[in-house]
Amino acid sequence: MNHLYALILLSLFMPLVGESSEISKFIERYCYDCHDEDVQKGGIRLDNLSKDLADSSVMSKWVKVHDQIKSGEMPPKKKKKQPSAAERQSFLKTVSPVLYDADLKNKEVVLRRLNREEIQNTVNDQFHIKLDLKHLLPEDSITQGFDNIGSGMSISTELMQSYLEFADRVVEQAIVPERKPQIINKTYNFKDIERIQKNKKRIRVVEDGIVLYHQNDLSSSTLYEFRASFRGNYRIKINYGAWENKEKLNLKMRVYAGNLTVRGQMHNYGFYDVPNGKTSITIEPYLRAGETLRVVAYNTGIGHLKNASTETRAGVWIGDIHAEGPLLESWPVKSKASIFNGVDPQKAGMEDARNIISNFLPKAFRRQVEAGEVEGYLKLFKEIFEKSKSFEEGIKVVLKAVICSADFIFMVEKGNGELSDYELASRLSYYLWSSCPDEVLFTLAENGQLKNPQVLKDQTERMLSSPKAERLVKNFTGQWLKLRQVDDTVPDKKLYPEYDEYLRYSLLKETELFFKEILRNNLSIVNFINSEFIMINDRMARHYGIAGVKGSHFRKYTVPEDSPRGGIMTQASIMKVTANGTDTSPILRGVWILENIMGVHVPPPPPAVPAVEPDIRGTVTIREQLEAHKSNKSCFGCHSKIDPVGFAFENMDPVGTFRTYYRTIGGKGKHVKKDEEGRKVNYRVGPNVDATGKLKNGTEFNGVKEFKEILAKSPQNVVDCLTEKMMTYALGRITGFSDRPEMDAISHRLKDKNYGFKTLIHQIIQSKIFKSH
Amino acid sequence: MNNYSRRTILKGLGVAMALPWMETFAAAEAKKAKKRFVAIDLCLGLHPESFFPQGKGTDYKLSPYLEKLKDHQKDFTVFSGTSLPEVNGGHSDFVSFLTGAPNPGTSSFKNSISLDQYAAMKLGNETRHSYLVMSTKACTLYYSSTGIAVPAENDTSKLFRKLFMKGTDRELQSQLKKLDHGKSILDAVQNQAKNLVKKVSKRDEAKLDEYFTAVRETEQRVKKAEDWIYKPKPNVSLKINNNPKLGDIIGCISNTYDLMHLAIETDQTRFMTFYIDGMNAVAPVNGVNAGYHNLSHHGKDPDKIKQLNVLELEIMNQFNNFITKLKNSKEGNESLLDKTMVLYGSHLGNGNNHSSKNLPVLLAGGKFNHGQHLVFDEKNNYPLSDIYVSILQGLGLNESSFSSGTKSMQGLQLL
Repeated sequence: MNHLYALILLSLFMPLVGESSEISKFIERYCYDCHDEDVQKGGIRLDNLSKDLADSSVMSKWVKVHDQIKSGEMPPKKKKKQPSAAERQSFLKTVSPVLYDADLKNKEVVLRRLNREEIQNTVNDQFHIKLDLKHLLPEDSITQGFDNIGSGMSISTELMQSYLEFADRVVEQAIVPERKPQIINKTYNFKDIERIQKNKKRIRVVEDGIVLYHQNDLSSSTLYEFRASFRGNYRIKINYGAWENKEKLNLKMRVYAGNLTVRGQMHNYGFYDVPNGKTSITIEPYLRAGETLRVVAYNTGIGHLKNASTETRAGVWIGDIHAEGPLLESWPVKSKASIFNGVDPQKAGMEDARNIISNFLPKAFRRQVEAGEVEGYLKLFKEIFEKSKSFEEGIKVVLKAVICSADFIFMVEKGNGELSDYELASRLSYYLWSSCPDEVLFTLAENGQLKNPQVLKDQTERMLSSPKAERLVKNFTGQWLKLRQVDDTVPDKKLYPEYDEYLRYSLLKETELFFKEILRNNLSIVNFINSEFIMINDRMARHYGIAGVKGSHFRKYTVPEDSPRGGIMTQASIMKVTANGTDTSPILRGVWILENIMGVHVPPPPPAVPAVEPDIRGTVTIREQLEAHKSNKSCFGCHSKIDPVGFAFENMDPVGTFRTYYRTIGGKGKHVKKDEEGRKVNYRVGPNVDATGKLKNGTEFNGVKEFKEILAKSPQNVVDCLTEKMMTYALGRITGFSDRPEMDAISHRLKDKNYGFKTLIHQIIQSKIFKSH
Repeated sequence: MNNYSRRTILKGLGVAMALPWMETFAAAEAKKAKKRFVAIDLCLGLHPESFFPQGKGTDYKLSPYLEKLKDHQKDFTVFSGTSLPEVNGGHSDFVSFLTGAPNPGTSSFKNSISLDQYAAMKLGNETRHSYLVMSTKACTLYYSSTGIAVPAENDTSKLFRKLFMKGTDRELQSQLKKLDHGKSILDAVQNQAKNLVKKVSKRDEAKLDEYFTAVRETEQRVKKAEDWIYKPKPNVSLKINNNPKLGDIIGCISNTYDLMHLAIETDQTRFMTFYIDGMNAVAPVNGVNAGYHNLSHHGKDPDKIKQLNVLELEIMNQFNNFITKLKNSKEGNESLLDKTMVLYGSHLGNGNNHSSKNLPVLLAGGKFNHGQHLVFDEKNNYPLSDIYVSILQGLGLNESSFSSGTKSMQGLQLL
């Protein structure tokens, strides 16, 4: 640390905390009882707390002291020696401006690089392609729950090497050879394929198609005969219908589209209702060269069959499949045409290269470029051109270099104070689109209009209604709500047989659509806590025990009176990602809800304490195991906050089904044995669930429904929490003490605006923090 | 206070930045010794009751799992009562297994350089590949000096081609062209970025510095690749052409061990890591019908524990095959096992509750006073990070600390 810098900070703080200062006296009088050298309660010692606020760990301790005094949590109520309200106020008034200034000087690195998601989107948008190559880049590290935080993102040799590889692949695919790809326009039928005809056990061949019975066979019915010849959208028409569905099963057809040979990738395109009689659907998936299609039956209840030709149960008939594509808008494709801009590489010279480079650089760097920069890349072009005698080769190498350049990889924000128009355009587009500004934004920046609050507002509206805003939904919910981790655990098949691919697909969709519904209609943030509606399809309805919802499409549905659903916390997706597959832990869920919904930070447990060992033998409940927390004082401090919140969710099992008893493998409970749509159910009825709890302030509740109602009554801390998460994501940096006044102002202003979620996004974008370095 | 003043102050003050990573003298002796290091981490732990042996010192009784290694009892040391200090994040601890970086899984976590990479930086230039990173999935144990994860290779047949198959002339030509272009690109972006330095703040300059270092090191790697391109690849009798079926964890492990053995034998690299992910699948092993991850969360259910034991015994069996192969291969008059330190174990002490204490770990090979069970305090664990120091010393490097390791492992001596 630079000494001068540290000294300046210290000198700011010294007068306040010197030997006889008010602050020192306050801390000595009210905190030393528990936090001096001898006692160090909770591992916290304040008698030797340094004043060097340039040290981030010291800074965070001072912030904690400030917050504890502000919230009134410290000194604990039971202590006799309490500061008067005036003393508290005076303490806060003295400390907070010092912390504010220190944070301002100390704040985050702003030069952040794009993460792999953003890099991929940026090249795709700039080249008008839809490549999926982000696996070539290493995963980005997560800071404060998000993968776009500048301080957490470094550059390494490995990363540089993968940029080279990534750039190579992108440019080779964008600047394609001259030869026009073969356009497919063909009708296929599985019945004509020998491999299918031979598979008598599983597939029945009928006059005009085939019948699929098996609901988990993910290999037999892949249409290898159809392979995309070139990247692009393909129009696929599939004729299908129910076959002998006498029992009126809720049959579905699932369609996969993509690279179906790669291990572990599903590429599920969708689930479709299968009516009686014959029908058809037309889909337009985006496929890359070599990729193909698959259709699979679902909900037939058949997981095993011996001879499809004599099968009497219901199946899914698949008739003609017509494929047409790639549906090219133009030739040469836009990715190439937009770069070469009419220049014929066979006849082109230096001047053409200069034009091409001057055209592309501003797009790539998201700003105007200087003549010197163009010259630099032109030099590279010349070098390659002279060596290879190929104009196209020269341009390709330049494009690759651009993608590897610091100007491209970093979100460069120069100077200090207010962001420039171009910088604002980038910040806005990486926030809402996880990608570069489009032409409209670029032009507005060029004309200096973007800073006009009304223009900024209109642009925010325009961007949020663009399909690219889907990335905000995916990236933000994926991280805030941990949805990206949905596959980290697979629920135990014996205990939770209902967890199948359709449920997995549906529960993710539910949360994303719910988030979108709130965003699009600017509904209140309180809906995240508790809502009168949910977004469900037939599968989610069945999962939630709601009758009468038919069809695989999602719809807005009013939560029935007696249902615990509504809000995100009771969505199956959230209950799934906060559990571990076999069982649920009120501690993990409690901590998760506190930190991500209620905005309460929970310190990690002391190192010597072992975690509770899950026990599914049916003899002891988790609540009984956690009783010890009450009697042990050092546990009780935090666990009196955590455990009750966790207990509220005990009615939700690891896949989000409402339960009144625990399912167990062992024990003496009643055996539940049945065959549920082809999946064997085999577990025992375990102990009853007790979902009662008492919050730290004394409010009692029974179950999650009551818990949510309590939370929704005073939603301000939930709104504060979401504001901070959104701000962190929007800025790409950790927010600090000096950001608090404006964040507080935003979240309190929301109160008068019905807590509108979209309003929050507007407020963030219009804030001074967002618009400055 | 004006919100806009932060940068001005920073510019004026010139915030200190981290010094570039300190290069030390090349350990010529260590390179000559051709010592290798392999680390294997099992993502779901090893059932502690079946792994840890009874008794201590040289006079201990093998546990059911270690029984699989009984032919090599004199070639490994097993540890109990050890863990990594301040590493307490359950599953996410794997990122710290070779780095020792504290507090993985928390919001402020920042990883540091991993042991294998540190070794590869010092000694890796001798071989075609400075290091290899493998996994049954795309997880990685390897972290670069700036704490960035390197994607691991999980396709053994692809890796086999990379290591042992000769390309056609045309392929070589196009590879050379790519390398040549790579050099030009790196040169150009370096020049361009110099203009950027002039315009950004001091603190941002530190970030740009990372970029320059990365570009320069990549240049060196490209040059090294060019140097090696015409050198013939070794002939090996074994061929790895096919990848096992999806979810076949035993097949994956077996293939990877074969490849690792070949790579060591033909000296393609001296530093390898292998992360064994649970793959969320039912392993094709007799007596196992539930997913591996699920079995690790056995909830004390006797049937699940039984299945977990069956599966983990097979995993231990595969490890024994690997160790046996190393022991049977000779280089000069030494066995490859004597020249290769193999760190084997897990960052999870107990898969059932995600405990990060009492890690199941053993160190095989590399000429230590093996054949013993080193027992430390179960409650107050001994810092496993000391083993990093022992391993670096075993490679012939004169190091006295690494990460939270401050001395060589107590009770473990180089012969």
